Amino acid sequence: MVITLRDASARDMVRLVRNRRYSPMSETMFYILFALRSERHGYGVMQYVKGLTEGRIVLGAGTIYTSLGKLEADGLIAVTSRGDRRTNYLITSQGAEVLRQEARRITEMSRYAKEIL
Amino acid sequence: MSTKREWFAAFRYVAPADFEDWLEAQAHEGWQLEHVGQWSSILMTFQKGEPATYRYVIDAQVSPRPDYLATYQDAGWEHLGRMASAHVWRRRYDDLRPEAFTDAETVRARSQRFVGAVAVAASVLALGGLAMLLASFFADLSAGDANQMLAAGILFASMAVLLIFVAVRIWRQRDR
Repeated sequence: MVITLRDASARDMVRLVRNRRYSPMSETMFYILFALRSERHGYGVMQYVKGLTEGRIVLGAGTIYTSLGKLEADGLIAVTSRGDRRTNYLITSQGAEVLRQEARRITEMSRYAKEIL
Repeated sequence: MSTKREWFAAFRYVAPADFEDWLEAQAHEGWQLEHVGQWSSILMTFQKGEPATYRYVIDAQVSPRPDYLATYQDAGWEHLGRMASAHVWRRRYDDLRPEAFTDAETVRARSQRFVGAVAVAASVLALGGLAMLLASFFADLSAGDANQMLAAGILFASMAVLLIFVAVRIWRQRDR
């Protein structure tokens, strides 16, 4: 499931990528966006990324909180529900497109990286 | 149980990482900080207990979102309270020192939040001090009132300058 924001436009997404806020994307942002292809709260993202990377990446609480705020402000994720303590987030259509563009960039780099191994 | 008081600790260790390291050293020596309140930046009280290894983290959040506390607490951090907008967290550890900020971008963002908060306070003090200085020279005041206004203006301006130095010092260590 991906959320589509009414006020989101392709121009906004292009702006985010072109001004290099998300391209190249930090490993932290990549994995948070990747994790939020399913609805998760902050701690859920931390656990998911730790499991996915077999413990190589352990995101700190401050990093998760700060990054979720930035991604939400930029329209790449959106709040889906708020409980007493936790808030659930999900990637938006803009976030999914930015993530796909980053995946293409990494895939291209990976192709050339294999040549030197 | 013995206690000790530390005055102006937050002003002696202005860089977040320095303040955290100092708190950690206190805990190593058995001086435990159990609560942080609005005035803790001026007076901080420690209780004598067993030496312990804690990682402390301070994080400036003026208006945190509703999931702020849960995000830290779910990850094992204990909230000791807040002094102004600075939240103080701690987490006990044995071997690997835990980090709340695990990438360069959010470490720098944390420093920027502190610099921003200090800059706002410095601006308010500077404007207040300037207004008082101008009033002491140009307003229709008695000699006694004008002198008091001048003294207050100098005090406010001095505090503003001090805060500017604090902001610069935090900024120089923004990647820690």
